[in-house]
Amino acid sequence: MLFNSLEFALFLPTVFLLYWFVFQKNLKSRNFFLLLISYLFYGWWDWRFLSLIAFSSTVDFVAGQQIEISNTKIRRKLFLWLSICTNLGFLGLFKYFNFFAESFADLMYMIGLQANPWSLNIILPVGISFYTFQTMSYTIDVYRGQMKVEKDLIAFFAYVSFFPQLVAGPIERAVNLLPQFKVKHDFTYEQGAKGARLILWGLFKKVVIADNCAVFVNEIFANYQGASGLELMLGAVFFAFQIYGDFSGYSDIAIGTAKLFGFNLMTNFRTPYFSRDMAEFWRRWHISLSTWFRDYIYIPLGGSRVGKGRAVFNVFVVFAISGFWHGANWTFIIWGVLNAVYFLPLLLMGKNRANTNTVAEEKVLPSFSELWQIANTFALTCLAWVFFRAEGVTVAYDYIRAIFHNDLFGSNNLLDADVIFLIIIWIIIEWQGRHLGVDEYIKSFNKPIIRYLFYYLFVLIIFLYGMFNESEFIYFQF
Amino acid sequence: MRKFLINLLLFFVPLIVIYISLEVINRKIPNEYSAKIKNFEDEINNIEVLVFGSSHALRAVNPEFIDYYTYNMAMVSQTLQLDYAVFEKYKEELKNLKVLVLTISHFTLSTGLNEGEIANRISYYHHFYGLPLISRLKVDNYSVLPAIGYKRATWGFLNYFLKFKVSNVKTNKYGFMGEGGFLAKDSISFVKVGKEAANRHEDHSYDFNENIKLLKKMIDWSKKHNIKVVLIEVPKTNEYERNLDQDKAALIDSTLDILQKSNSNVSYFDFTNHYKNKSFFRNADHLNEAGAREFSLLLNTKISEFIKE
Repeated sequence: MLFNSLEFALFLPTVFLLYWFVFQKNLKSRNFFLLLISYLFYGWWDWRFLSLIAFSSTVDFVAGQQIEISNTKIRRKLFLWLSICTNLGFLGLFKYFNFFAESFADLMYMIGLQANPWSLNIILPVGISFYTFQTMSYTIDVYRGQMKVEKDLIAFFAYVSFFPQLVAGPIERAVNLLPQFKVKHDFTYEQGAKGARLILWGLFKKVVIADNCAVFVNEIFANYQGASGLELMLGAVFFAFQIYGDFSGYSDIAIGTAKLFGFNLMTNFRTPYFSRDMAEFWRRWHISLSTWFRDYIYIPLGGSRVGKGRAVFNVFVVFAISGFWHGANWTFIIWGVLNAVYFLPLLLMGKNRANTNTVAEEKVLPSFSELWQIANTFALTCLAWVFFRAEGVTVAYDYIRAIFHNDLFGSNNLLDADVIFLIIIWIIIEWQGRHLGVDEYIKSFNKPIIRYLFYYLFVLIIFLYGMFNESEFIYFQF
Repeated sequence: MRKFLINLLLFFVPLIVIYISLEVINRKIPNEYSAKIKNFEDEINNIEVLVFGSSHALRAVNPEFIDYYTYNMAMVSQTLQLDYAVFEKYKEELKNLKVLVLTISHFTLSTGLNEGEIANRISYYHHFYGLPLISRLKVDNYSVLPAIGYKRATWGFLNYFLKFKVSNVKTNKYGFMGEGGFLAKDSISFVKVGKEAANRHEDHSYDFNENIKLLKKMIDWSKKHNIKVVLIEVPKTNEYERNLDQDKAALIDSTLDILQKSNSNVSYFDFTNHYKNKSFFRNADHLNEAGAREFSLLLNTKISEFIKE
């Protein structure tokens, strides 16, 4: 079920009313209801893959229990690895098998041997990368003693499959989300209003910004050989807007929906395109995944508190895995490595934490030097996005080459002026909300009439400029 | 909770009222589909030649130049399934029908009902032609606004009250469309649009089975009722044709040829490369009004000969 579909528009108010008026009174029945509607939400796409979530949840639930009661370290480790291997096994089978088989065949061919790639004709279950990482974090935290084992099967299953963030995150940590299934929530007006505001803002970003940019971007990437240098540059820039609008839009709707049910999910984006360097960008982009890699891979590898050579290795490993997490294609790995290359000079010069505050704090506009830094960081990001968006490495290379080789001007494909105007409005509002978030910025309008005018204005914009073709969110494919 | 629900309700009530008003008014304003089906139903007893197909046929066959009473039921992106569904609904009422013209484009034999460009237009057939075509839970089932486009629907609504212009119908009373659409102004435009259109229409599918079944049903029914069937491919430019899968194009030709040879009431005419002169074309794959006039006169000759056979 997509957030931007009629199904969801009917599903959400129905389950909201049932949740608060029927099931809220009893914790067990409430969690069972959440589990049921989460499975319905996921099964609407393909019910067969519910068995995968159920199996993953069962393995991790049992593994957690066994880790808790095991006396020996070996046994504890055994159950931790059972959980990790099961989850990564599913990921490997459904997401990466064909990639490895084809890459192996290519390698054999390069050294003069003939090998027919043995590929599987299987579809990628939506959200598998998200929920496997979420459920793995539970067993790892239990193993590390950072959280207590969960004994309530229903609460645990509901945590793994919680529908607002099941298919595209934020990838929640058990330590944050699971305890919320153990307490009763009281509905507060403020939380409900915040949830509704986030849903509205997320919808705007998805159906207005991302989906309109997508039309232009698809056109440019499909016909990049004949496009002018300027169009190609704009193609990369608008893809940056598209992917941010799409993914942060999804995250806002997910966080807003969870709030309607009394749950708090972690922030996933904090105005990343206003970052002054790549280290700051990675502290603000897809935060739930970045922190997952930091806590479960980077720090266990030694992080930056090791020799320089090892630190460089660690950074490359984490960024390459992060790229590979997005998809079984060399383009994603190169995207990850490219980001590592951007990040490394900052780490080596000890400047990776130079910009931990928000840009232009207590100021209306950024200084020229801040603006220059933001523009540079954004340009580097756009360059990397070309690899992320391109069908293959050669296409990405040709695209970038064409920027400099094709005529700079001569444009046949341009976005509508009103869409560009809406993007400018979007950037202005994001700028205004860079400290506390757009939601708090809207809330800061003291007079209710102004707030409501703002809401109606955005409903009108969504209505007039939104694309209602129920296009999938980009991150569903990961 | 009570305050939240009341505020939410108060917030949505004006929006719902506006939506319903837009829906009601936009159903009243004539559009290509409502106008086409109304004219068709009004003249159904007089129709002697009925033309089906996509925009290729819509812009190519002008019934004014055909000696028999002809109606052009083709529409933008209309697939063979839709031709069939419309024909099935009205076939018993077409008392005077002598010739059924089925226009075959490159995508006609391989495209499904909800595939390609037609997907967003299906609801027009649902709301205005009364065809029960939508099965999924979609807004389109209940509202015509998504197909019209909310922005266009809002302008339509405002124009309706301000009385600027309440109709956007470009088809004539025989269903032919001469104006509107993209106009290629130079050879570069022909090349660019030809490639784009060919890419849009190319699915590389060689599976014609389902659509051939529909064609055969229409041919068989026509045979039983002494109606002749003309299968045509309308003229296009080389800028469009050369970008299509040539193997598929050849397979389409041979398939239509087999249909002609195995059915005495079927005649097949391939006019694809009939005109080299660009002055007959609106863009790479559509004739302009002058081209449509020439082509309709040519088709008139072929139909007249076929009827007399």
